[in-house]
Amino acid sequence: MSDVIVHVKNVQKTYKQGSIEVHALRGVTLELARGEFAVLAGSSGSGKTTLLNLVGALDVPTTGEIDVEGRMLSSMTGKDLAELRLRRLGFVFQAYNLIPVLSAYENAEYVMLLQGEPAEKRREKVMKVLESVGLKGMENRRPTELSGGQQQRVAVARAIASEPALVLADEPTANLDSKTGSDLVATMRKLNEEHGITFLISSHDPKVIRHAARVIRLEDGAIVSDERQNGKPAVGYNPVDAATEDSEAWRGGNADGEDYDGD
Amino acid sequence: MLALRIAWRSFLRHRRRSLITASAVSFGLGLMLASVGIAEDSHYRMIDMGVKLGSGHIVVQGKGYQRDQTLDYLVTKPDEVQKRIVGVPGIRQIAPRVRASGLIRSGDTSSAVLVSGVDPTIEPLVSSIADPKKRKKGDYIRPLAEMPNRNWPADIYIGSELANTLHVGVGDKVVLTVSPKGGGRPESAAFMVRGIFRTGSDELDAMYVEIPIDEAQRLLKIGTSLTQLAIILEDNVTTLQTTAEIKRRLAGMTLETLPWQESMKELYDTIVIDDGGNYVMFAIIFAIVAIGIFNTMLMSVIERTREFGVMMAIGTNKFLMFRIVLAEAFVLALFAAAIGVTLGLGLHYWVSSVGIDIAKWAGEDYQVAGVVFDMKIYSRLTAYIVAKWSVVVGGLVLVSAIYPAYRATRLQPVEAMRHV
Repeated sequence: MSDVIVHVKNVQKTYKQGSIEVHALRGVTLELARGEFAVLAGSSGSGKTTLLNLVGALDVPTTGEIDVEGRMLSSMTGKDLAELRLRRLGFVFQAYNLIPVLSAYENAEYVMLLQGEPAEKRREKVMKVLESVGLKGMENRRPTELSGGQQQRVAVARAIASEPALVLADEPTANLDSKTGSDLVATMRKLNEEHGITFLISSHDPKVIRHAARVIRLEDGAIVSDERQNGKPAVGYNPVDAATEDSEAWRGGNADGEDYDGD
Repeated sequence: MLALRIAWRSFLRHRRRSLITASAVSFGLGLMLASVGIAEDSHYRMIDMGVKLGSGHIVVQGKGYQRDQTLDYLVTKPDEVQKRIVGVPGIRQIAPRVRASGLIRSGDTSSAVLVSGVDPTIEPLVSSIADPKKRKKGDYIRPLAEMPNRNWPADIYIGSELANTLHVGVGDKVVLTVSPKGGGRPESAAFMVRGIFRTGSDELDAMYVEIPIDEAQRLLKIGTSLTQLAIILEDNVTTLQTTAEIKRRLAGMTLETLPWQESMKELYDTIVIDDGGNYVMFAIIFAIVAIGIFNTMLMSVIERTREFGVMMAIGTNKFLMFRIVLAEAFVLALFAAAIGVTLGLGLHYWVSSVGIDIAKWAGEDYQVAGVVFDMKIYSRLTAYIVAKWSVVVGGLVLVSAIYPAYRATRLQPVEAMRHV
């Protein structure tokens, strides 16, 4: 399988609010290598969440193309996209978004249950993953019986339990206190290092950015910088004025995940 | 299973809403079962009375008799009929009868009557008229063979209104005149009033008399022929299928075999109309239940837009979303059906043990198609009826949840997750 897991090619996203057009993304081009731990940084309204939603096949771009693991999202049916989200992607949302009627264990198990994994395997993985996010002993608690940080850990557990190729996390620490947020990012980083799961996280939280191997900064819907934490130029960097560049140009870029190092 | 688990938890999570909705459905089902029970019982009684006062569950008569009730259409070989239908399952009794119109006279007073020649040994087993409870005075008629003296007039059993008209009592003599088969001179004979009945039906009490069958056959000059054989079954449920079996066995004879639904058409129509009225009421209950469920399920889907959005985002497909909402309706239906059936059975047991006195609304004698009914109403339910209506209401709950479930599948994850 290719080492490039996500290709975002000259993507624009425009929302219409009445007669006004809001340009959420203005020609974004980006590559993400397998095993990366990348952060989309930027202020509110910069287009981070929009980009994550597009990569996660939750929304469709106005123009441009996105492919995930070599499959062009625009050519896939709704059913195929649901299948892709189920089997290859993991999601962590800003507001935890657990299924309120299920316990921590059941929430973490949910995706695997949909995947049709056998009970024994589910149990083994869920217990392991809950332990790895520090929730051992809290398996039977419902979301309302967990703190915000614990809920977000369950969300992370749910996202990674099925061993997806890519985890998309939207402001995962936004609703957490500083210490809990740091712990959570450390947990995700550990999972990335130990299991090689690719993470694309949107955040403007310095704690998260500090942990990132790669920081892609967005402003007004365009990438303004794409940097390794050691200061090297970013992979697939595509400044605003390059939005209309021929796709050949960025394909020539270095998309390997080898030349980045940890934080 | 996953859909059911989520549905059950959601049901418990929104306990108050679930209970309010379930109780509306339960109340509807309970009331429906109670009213079905009462209707079933009143129909059962109507049929039972009709059968006992009229011509049985099934009547076998000469072909054409139903249309033109004259002696031109007779059962000429009653023994052959009896022989052929003996052993048909479900038959309790077969009562031979001869019916004709006649004139009864006592002194200067006379009255037109319907004369029924009956077998005095069988009739008390099948007829309400011969039932001692309906007897006002005297005894039931005796067979000719049991008369202490062969020269005595035969017994006659008359209604109370007729006795008043004729100014006669038990032991008095009356003269009955009938037109025998084939015309000719009317035949008259004296009878002794053996007993007086009162059914409550004006028609029967004023116009109906019973005499021994052999005396009727002699007066009408019809030999051993009958006008009809009334067949009483163990249970009305098997009427139509037993009718078919009897028809099969009597094939080739010039006879007509009619279930009570055809021989007592007026009674049957009354029951059908009554059922129709009940169905209108049920339709109203159904509508209330359906609107309630629709509302609740739609509210549930709208409230959980965000939750459903997340579920879809993480890979739940539309079919599973649909099933989750339907499963919730299913849990609701199951719960409501359990409570509704308990409530319905409770009402059923209360009504069937205590009875509701309707005399104050309906008057002392309530008649339908000439049949008089008890002034107390009871309830009659079978497991089949309870199961049928529970399934109907349960099905209605599921159908009402289809649109809300469909709506859940139409959610767009991104927009749904923005929902507060």
